[in-house]
Amino acid sequence: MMDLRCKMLDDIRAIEFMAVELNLFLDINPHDHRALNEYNDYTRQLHELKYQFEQQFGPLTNFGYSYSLHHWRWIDRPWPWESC
Amino acid sequence: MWIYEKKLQYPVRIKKPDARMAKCVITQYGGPDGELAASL
Repeated sequence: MMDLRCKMLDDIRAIEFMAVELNLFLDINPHDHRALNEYNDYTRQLHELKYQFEQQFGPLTNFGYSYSLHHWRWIDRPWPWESC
Repeated sequence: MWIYEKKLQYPVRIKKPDARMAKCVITQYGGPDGELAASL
């Protein structure tokens, strides 16, 4: 059984994979408009998914890159080595 | 330059521990011809 947290992280990872691959492609084909549109599309999806995740499960990054609303959730478990 | 993300890039579930393979992987990271040696 996979809980919602793992499922959401998996979705984020899938989009991140696409973003990295398109990034590498665009590095050598910077004028490819189709790839650029796809890259921006996946980037938009990634921002949305990370926003949804962080609303529910707390910040993915610290040092001012993510908000921690209501209380300080950065130190909440699970840490990456404790789950997926 | 680097930021920490509180998630794994690619979670790995080790179903069948393999000490020989583990030794190869560790050597690639930290051995004389591995990533660590190459970066110094």
